[in-house]
Amino acid sequence: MNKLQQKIKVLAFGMVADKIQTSVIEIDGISSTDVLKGYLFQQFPGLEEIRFSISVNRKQAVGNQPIPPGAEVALLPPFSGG
Amino acid sequence: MLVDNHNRIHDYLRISLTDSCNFRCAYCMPNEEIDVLPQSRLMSTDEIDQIAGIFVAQGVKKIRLTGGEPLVRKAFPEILERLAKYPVELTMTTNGILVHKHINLMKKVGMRTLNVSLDSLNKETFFKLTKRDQLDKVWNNILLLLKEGFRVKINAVALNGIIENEILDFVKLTKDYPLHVRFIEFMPFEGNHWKVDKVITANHMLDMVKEAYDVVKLQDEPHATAKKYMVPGHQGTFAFITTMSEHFCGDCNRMRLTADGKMKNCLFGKEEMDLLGSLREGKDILSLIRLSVKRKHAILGGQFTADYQKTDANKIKNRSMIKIGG
Repeated sequence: MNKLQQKIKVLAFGMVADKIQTSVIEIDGISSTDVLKGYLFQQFPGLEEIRFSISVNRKQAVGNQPIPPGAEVALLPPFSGG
Repeated sequence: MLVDNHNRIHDYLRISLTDSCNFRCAYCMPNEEIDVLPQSRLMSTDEIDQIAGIFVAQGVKKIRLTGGEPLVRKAFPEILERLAKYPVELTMTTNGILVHKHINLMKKVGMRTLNVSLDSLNKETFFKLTKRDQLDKVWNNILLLLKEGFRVKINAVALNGIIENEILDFVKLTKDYPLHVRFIEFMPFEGNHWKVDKVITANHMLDMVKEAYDVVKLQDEPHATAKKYMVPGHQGTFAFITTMSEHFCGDCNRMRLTADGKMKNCLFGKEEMDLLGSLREGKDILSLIRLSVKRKHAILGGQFTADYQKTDANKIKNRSMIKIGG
């Protein structure tokens, strides 16, 4: 697998995007949502203060979930869930 | 605890306060002469309190008030205050038109979530559906509820010929407002002219949404009747209630009490237990409640199969929606 395919694409919305000051980032070496959070909290101090959800390939991740290579991940600020 | 023969714990009671409504939606109210229950046949405030207390003692944790339109019941404030003493989540399904009159009391008794039925965002269509030109009032009350901190769910029955035109408008609402919009597949009830080809399925609706938006599937809670989605970045979410295309009877925890005090163990069941009649005769009603729960069918009230396309609406014995409470 080449390097490009191993990257994941992370889309940020709303106040999460404000905090990380961009709406799209591409990262490699991220295998799970916990690893992703660890990376983001280290890179973007202050992000820990915000509650956000993560979706992996357009499905909400609950708990720690694997992120396959090439996945599209979204960082979702709080929403009204019903 | 109320457990049926399929090991389902029943801890959610829906109480219809009246079979009257100030709207005239055809799918809910049959196109025939309106025949409203006389006051004497309705459960009184005392009787509602008493019956609810018996259910709560058996482990009911959530009570939803329905109708007709629950807010047209004159004794609504008194009933609400009486039920507020129970350690339950108290909620309501309303058409929204009278919400402003009762919102202070609803807040005071600790009601936090409310479902508002709203099938169209278009003034003309709304008028045609409800026979009332009051979309603006309903919308203003939805905004009022949000302002006052309520969690608001909008229930839209997916009516063919309407939802196709409006589903994207409903989803668009979730961008700017923290609303949870639920699209409900059209279900057969007495007199509502249900036909297989009038059902717009959740999958069909989801395809329509996906043509305009990227969507994320959200996690659904236990006992949830809705399959939730959102457009990333929106404040609100949307969902589909797939009663017809994919029933969710497996973890059903619901019981219903009609305004005339009959217990229904299923929205689609034909069997009723006359709790009010027995209560008025001074008899024990807990045994009837238990019996009703025990007799609950595994799926869809035993009246139709999981394949909705085989449903013959004429063979289903049930009340119209307005007489059940949705």
